[in-house]
Amino acid sequence: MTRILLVDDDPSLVASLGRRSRREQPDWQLVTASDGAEALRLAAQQPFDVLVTDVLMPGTDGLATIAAFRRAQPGAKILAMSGGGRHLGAEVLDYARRLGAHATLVKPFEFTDLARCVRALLGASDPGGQTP
Amino acid sequence: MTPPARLLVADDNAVNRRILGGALVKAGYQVIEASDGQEAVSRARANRPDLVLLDVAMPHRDGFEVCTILRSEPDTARTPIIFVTAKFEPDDIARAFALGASDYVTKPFHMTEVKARISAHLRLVEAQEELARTQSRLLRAHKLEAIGQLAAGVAHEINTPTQYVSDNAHFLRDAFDDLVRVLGQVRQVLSSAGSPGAQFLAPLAATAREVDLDYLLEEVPRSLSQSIDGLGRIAEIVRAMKEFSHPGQRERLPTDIHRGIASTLIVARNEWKYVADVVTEFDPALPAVPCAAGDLNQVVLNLVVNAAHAVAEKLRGAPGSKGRITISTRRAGEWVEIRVSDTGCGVPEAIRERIFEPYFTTKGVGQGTGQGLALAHAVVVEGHGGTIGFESEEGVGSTFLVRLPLEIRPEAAA
Repeated sequence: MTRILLVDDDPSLVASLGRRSRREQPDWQLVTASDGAEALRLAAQQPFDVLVTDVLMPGTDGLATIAAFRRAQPGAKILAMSGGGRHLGAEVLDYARRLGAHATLVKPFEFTDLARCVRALLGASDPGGQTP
Repeated sequence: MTPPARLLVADDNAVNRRILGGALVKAGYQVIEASDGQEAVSRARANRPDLVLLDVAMPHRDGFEVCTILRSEPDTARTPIIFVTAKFEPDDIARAFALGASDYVTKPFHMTEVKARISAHLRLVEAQEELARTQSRLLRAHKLEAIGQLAAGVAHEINTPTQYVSDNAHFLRDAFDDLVRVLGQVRQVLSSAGSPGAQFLAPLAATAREVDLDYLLEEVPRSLSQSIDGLGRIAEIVRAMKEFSHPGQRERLPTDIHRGIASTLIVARNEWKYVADVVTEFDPALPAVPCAAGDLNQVVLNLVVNAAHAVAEKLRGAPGSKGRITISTRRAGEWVEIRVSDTGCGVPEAIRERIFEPYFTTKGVGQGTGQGLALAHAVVVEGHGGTIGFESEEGVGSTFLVRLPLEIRPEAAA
């Protein structure tokens, strides 16, 4: 079982990734949170193998979540995803990397790229990102 | 060469007109004469002079009345008006300026002074026109920038819904494949006549007929596959839009211009898809080109849109057929060459010298601003130290050639 903590403020996005993972990655145990604060509460209660988090979120945003999660679970891998926001482009992913994200995905991405990325992170090889 | 300025000389005294008019013709101006106020107004309306020299005391309408009328009409509202009069009291001077006069000279005058005042006012008009042009150019640039930023913002907003709609469509397609397995078995049971418990299955059989189960089993997977393809295209267009606009990047950075051209073709697809096939012939060994990506994309966009219009123009008599637009790149020494060729109507001989001029357009009102090629020229020549030119044969097609230097030279860096 791969324990994944998925964080995004858009419930439809969380739900749709949940549906696909249940069918296509039955070995994933997916726990979801709709913001950074909720994610960090969950991270204080149980260990995860991978954090998959959106970057631009209201309240505790993805960057703050990444920094705090890394302190809480130093052994876990971190994957940041973003489609950019109203004022910032996908360059926010560069900040996420600097704060400790091991890999990044630009929305919209293929689910198969997410799966490949997670596999690569846990296999400790270079995860890169999605195929261009 | 700009044509000589047209001056209207309005004076009821024929001798005065002759003296003033003659001197101005000698000075290189084109002179129109009017012998009274009424004629001054009608000549001004008909001939749109660049400047009016106006006597005050004239029959049928005096100079003040003429001035009032000319100022009230759009064509002459800004034409410089210089009063020429023998007797001008301070109150008259004030009244003339209040009515919109630009200046005055009193008789007897020195011709050198009159000529100096005329040329000063003509220069002023030219400066005002230049200012208006600059303002409109800035306004347009500002508008484009704002639209670019808006487009980039919208693109970002679209990304998240695209993500989950696409994931849901994938999920539905896969899940329906499983449902098909279940429903396929149901169908089999229903079709095997005389099966035990047929009376229990009758309502199920009726519902299956009512919803047209066979049709659904065929069409649902198809509709989901089409939706997934469509979502892929939406994602591609959004990506191209972001890449096309490059908001914020003003400096010249090493750029893969092929990506920019490909994105531009996607963004402009609606302009060419019905009239032309687009072919790209990219030099695979082309190095990165130092350029402001967003600006260069705008140049390519303008050339492609023009090419599409030229092809459409030529096809107007032959509906159903298509032309061809070819975009090629190659390296030529220390330069990179981008060619946009079309099989369109060509550029008429008579306008070839003018097509890069700002505001020059042959397109109908609302179709072209006359800024596309002027902007392309400014970006390529002033912005990048490159060259832009074209070859054209009427009825056969045109090729526009953009050349960009591979090295930023100091004199072009500003």
